[in-house]
Amino acid sequence: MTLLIKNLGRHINDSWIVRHLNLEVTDGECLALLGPSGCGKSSTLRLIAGLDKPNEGSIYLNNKNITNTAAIDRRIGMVFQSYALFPHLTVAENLTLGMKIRGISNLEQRQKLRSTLELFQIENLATRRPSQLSGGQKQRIALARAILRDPLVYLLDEPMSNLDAQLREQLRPELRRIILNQNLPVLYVTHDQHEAMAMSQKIAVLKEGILEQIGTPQELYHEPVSIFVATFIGRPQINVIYNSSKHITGIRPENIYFNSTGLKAKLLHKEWLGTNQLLFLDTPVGNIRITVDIGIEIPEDITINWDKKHEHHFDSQTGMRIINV
Amino acid sequence: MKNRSIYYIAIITWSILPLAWQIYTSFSSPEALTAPILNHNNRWTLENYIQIINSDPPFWTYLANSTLVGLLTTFITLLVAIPASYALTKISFYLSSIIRLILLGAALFPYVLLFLALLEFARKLDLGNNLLALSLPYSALSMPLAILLLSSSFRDLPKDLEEAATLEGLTLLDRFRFILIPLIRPAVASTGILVFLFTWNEYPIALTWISNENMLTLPVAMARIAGSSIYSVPYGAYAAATVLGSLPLLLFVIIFQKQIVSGLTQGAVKG
Repeated sequence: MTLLIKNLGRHINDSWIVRHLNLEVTDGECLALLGPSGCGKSSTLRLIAGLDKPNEGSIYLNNKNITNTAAIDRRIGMVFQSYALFPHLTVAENLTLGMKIRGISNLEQRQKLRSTLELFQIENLATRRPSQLSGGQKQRIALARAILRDPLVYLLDEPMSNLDAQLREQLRPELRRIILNQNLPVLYVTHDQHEAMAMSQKIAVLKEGILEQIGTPQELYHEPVSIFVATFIGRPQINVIYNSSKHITGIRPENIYFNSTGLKAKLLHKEWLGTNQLLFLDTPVGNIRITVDIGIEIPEDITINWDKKHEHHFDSQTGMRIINV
Repeated sequence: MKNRSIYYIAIITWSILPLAWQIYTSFSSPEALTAPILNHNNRWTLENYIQIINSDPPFWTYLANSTLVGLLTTFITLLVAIPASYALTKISFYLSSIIRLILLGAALFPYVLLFLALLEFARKLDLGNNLLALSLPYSALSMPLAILLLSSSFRDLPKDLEEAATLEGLTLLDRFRFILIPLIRPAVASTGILVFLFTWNEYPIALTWISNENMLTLPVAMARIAGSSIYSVPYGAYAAATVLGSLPLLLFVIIFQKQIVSGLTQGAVKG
């Protein structure tokens, strides 16, 4: 089963929210849609779910054009950012309502409900209402509901953004174990590059409704096609050096080291990151961030350098990568 | 704490006193009413109630008439207003703002100005002396306010909920039944009560549309309670009719108490 998106576009009045979008997500593949807020990633998800109508382009699921299929017939397992649990129904009712409507027998409903509750180890929550649940529990219920939809594709819209960092780390393996192992295409929307890299095999970076780059986390990290992708992927953020009016150099903080020759720098301040430390340096080419080991001695007179092969070069007008400098 | 209880007592007295006064009056003999300080042998009496109940047709007929019209009006109003207010949240903001404005104008319009025109309708369409037909103008007059009230509660519902239900395979009708109406139930209950109250109290249209003794609604029937002479006002009988006429409302409010209260505070606390 493959999700295929061809030249998808939607506009409101004169402004395009999504345009010229081409994506392919195969079985068992998780594609993260990554970008800042307002870049069109959630809009893309809504188009695939059928909640909004595209103005151009088409969507295929298993070689079947579903562009004009109604949302209720699309078999989409969606997890909303707000979870969208029905507040007046208990957890069990939330999970079985859809099955009831779709004409699944009572016996089967009960069996599926039980096995899904077991899967998430939330059997004890069946009679609770959403208002009596914690964020992490709500998130599990929302995922359980998506699974019980028996979908052809999973659409996860910022599924973890309402949870605290610790809970997110805890839920990530669970999400991988349950959703990503189902051998269905998964689209994972997030604005958190760290989460995108952790959860997905491929990342599509969107900017103002246009696909900027798609590739594995490694590709995006090592060969960003634009300064936008370079600054969006990787923390601490890449250093941007404006060489001339036409040319930008990017160099990642971890590729910079102390050296006897190179750029003279003054330490502004430093941040403890646990495994290493982040130094903010003042240099003739602007402020530079570098990461160094905790144990390392920070010299009085700092001189930094980096290898040419680690430099990324971009056109300052278009922001695009320059291959041969 | 002590200060507070004074306020509570004041507010409760303020709301209860007129009611208590009505009940007191309804059980008092005419002599006791005109000279309350004097000692009377027959201060308390059931005479007022007996007069009301033994009238022809009996008072229960009017109660039943009003209840029938009230329930039918409430039903028709909600049946039209719920889908209409839902639709208002689905059309463009510009269009819905204009419609809301028009509805607000209609809701604020003094409907007494319409009763002559409505009477013409009744004559032309032969709707006079028909209890069920009476609920047509009542529903029409209640509609603007009902739509405004319900549409604001539809608008407050998170969009995600209905979309999640759609993706679960619920049709529009399913969504109304399982998701939307249960979620706005407080608003539906309070709107229903407002509509019911309006028909319960309505006078000019009922007066002009209905002349058959057996079909009068409560307010008209009460106005027709006659004294022994044109110079005597039958306060006791009026009070007894008022008390009996309030009972169904009281019942209504007690039944839907929970919904009304949560309807009043809706939106105050995010769930």
